[in-house]
Amino acid sequence: MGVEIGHYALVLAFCTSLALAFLPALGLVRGRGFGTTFAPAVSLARPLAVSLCVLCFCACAMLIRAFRASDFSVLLVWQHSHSQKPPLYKIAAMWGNHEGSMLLWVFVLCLFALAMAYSQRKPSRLTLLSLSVQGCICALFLAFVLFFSNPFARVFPVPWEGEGLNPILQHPALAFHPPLLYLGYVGLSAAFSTTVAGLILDDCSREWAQKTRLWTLVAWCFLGAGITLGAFWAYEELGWGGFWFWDPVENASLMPWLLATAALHALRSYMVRQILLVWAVLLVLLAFSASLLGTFLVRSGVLMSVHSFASDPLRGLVILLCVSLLTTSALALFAWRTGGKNTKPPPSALPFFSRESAQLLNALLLSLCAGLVLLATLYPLFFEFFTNRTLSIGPPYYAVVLSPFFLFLLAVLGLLPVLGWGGSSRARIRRHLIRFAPVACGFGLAFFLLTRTSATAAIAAALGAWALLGAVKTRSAKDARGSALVHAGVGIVVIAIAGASLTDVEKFRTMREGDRVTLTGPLFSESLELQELFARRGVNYTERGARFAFVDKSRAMLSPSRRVYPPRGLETTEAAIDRSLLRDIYVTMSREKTRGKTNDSEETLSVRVQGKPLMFWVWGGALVMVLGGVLSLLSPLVTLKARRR
Amino acid sequence: MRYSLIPLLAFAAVVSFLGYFFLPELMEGKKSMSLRRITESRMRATPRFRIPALAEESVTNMAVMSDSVLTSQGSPFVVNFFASWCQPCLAEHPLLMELSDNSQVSVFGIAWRDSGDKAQTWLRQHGNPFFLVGVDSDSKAGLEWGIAGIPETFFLDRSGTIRFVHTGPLTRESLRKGLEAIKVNPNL
Repeated sequence: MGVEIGHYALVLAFCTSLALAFLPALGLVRGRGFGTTFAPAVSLARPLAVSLCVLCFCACAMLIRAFRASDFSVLLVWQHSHSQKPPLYKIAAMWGNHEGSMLLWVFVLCLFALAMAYSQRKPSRLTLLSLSVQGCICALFLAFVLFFSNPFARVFPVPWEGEGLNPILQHPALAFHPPLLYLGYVGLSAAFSTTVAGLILDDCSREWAQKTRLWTLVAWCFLGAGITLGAFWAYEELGWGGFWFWDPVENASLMPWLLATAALHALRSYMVRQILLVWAVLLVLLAFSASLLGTFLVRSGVLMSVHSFASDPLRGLVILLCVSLLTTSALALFAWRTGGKNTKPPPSALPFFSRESAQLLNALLLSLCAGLVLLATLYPLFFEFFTNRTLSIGPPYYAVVLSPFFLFLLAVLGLLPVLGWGGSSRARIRRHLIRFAPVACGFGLAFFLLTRTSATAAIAAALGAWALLGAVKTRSAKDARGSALVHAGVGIVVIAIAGASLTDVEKFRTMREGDRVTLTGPLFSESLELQELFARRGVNYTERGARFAFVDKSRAMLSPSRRVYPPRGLETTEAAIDRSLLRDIYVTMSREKTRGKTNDSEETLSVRVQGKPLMFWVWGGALVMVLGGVLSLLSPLVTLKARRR
Repeated sequence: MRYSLIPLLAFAAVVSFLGYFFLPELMEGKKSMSLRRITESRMRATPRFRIPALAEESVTNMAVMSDSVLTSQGSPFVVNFFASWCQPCLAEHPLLMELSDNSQVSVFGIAWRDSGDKAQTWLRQHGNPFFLVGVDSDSKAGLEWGIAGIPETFFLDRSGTIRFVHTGPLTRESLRKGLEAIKVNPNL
């Protein structure tokens, strides 16, 4: 019964979204041109947004209910759940698959429509029209969910037992990673709708900029948090010891993030100095387009990836059509509005050493980086198309191609406190350089002497420190605190990545009970002793593991293990991690019964022990960045004029 | 030429390119298109490559692995990409051991992005199912074979043509399918 209610709510939601798409816009048109408004249609905007949201929520809730109750008569539940699964993961299973996650995607879309409707006491024309645009997007994707990936489809005869969820996905971080990421991806839709509405009204005014900045910033924070959580999951659960693999799905989340970052900077330049308007508009449009394209890439199966969803050509084509419909119409509108009017060039050429040129550089380089990531993500397809051979592109490409741009941006970032709007004197810049560059260089040198591994890491660390110093130095004007915090976070993350991915150490050992392994890295030296091997039964898995103790007894025991999940016979690696401010010790084990050993009574264990310097700060820095985003969300932007007053 | 049209054109180009991949598949009404496309495009002769091999771990003491070494067998064979750092590879390992013990087909291993020492230690620990183990430390062979990730297993027939590819840890079913594709009695 609940399933039918959910299905019906979904149908109603589709109808409501159609009404939302047409009525507010109609209200605007009826009142002669875009001048006045037609009250009845307009006053319906808010109730429509509310009911859309409630209906979508109802559909989601009913699907979750089916998962909680393990109702295997629902195709989706049968395919992706199992009666033995822990309750939290039964719920998380709702978005651990294509149909369910698409429903969640649409729900978030409706949530943002609601937020847009209530973001103002009395909805302005811009808000009304952007609600209409948002309604269009909702209708498009609700139609897709209803007609091409219905989560409420039944299966008959009803199976006894579900087919289980990928046990790799049974991790708290992953349970919350998709919803957060969707809040980010889809949050960009609000900025997109506002911008499209602004273009239609041909009024990209201050109100537009404020709104767009608000939504982009909200989305940016969620996206950052979601990406971090995803990386955290990869680090904890995949057991490879890395946290970023340049997987197509990861790239799909990185591209919108880069573009949104660039858009935020361009928007700020526009608000303060009335420059970079075209960039701001374009970047906002592109950011949402990138997140749509990412959705397509993840779901269509065009690209093979660790965690892509099952593929179906029809579904892929329909998503592609939706994506191209939205994006091409928005970009065509952009071309029409900006091309005709010969947007006026900035009053005078930008001074070379100024905040403006730094912002322009930021917009340019970040969008270039996003383009390069897209190119690399799609390159295997191009290559196959033209040569009929296949190839794969890995982390080395990204490291080589992207790092120069990022390092250059960091160098500029460190100069930020002396780059004022409208130009700054060379003497100031020189003073800043003399005062802080030696500190940063000293840090880099110390880093190199301590680790003695790679010069690249040292350079990255020096530039990270340089950026951090710059962020700390930034005067704490009320509206700059948030961005200073974000920039400090960037510095921290860069230093941490230089430590964790470029100077890490690892050892492989075959051990018996009582054996010791010593790991010596740049900032630490630890001895571990294998104390015992154990086996136990978990909720829906069996586990074999080992307990390691630090020889100097300074820290808690580590117990890596391997789990076997009966439904699919899948085996996962549970890494054991000892965290501290300076390093992570990361222990993973492989199966302990080894072939070819004559003496079977003595159990041995092959382990991989990794030491990752500064790993903690990758998460710490990312958190600082997100917090900075939240802080600038809370503090209203002050224009240059207002500040001088 | 309006510069503001550039984003539109660029995006349209990308989208139509992606769309191109779908249309023919859709016309034919085939189901799992991407898999079929990938498998079909890989139905080709053994890629040319030449990498060092672990002589001590091989049956024949050969120190080189190349396409001609593989095809000179004159019988169907299996090529498995693995690495000592790859956890999923451990999952499929028992199946490979079983395959090499029970079947006539020779299994070649390529240690992808791995050092010879580590691969050797790994094989000594877990057992060596391979006839010959190549070491592809800089992914030269991986690039030629066009692997999508490891573990990945190629099934080649007598003439050295790739007949079946499985990405990810082998399962009993995929192994049987692969062996059927190269006309070997699975015997598992």
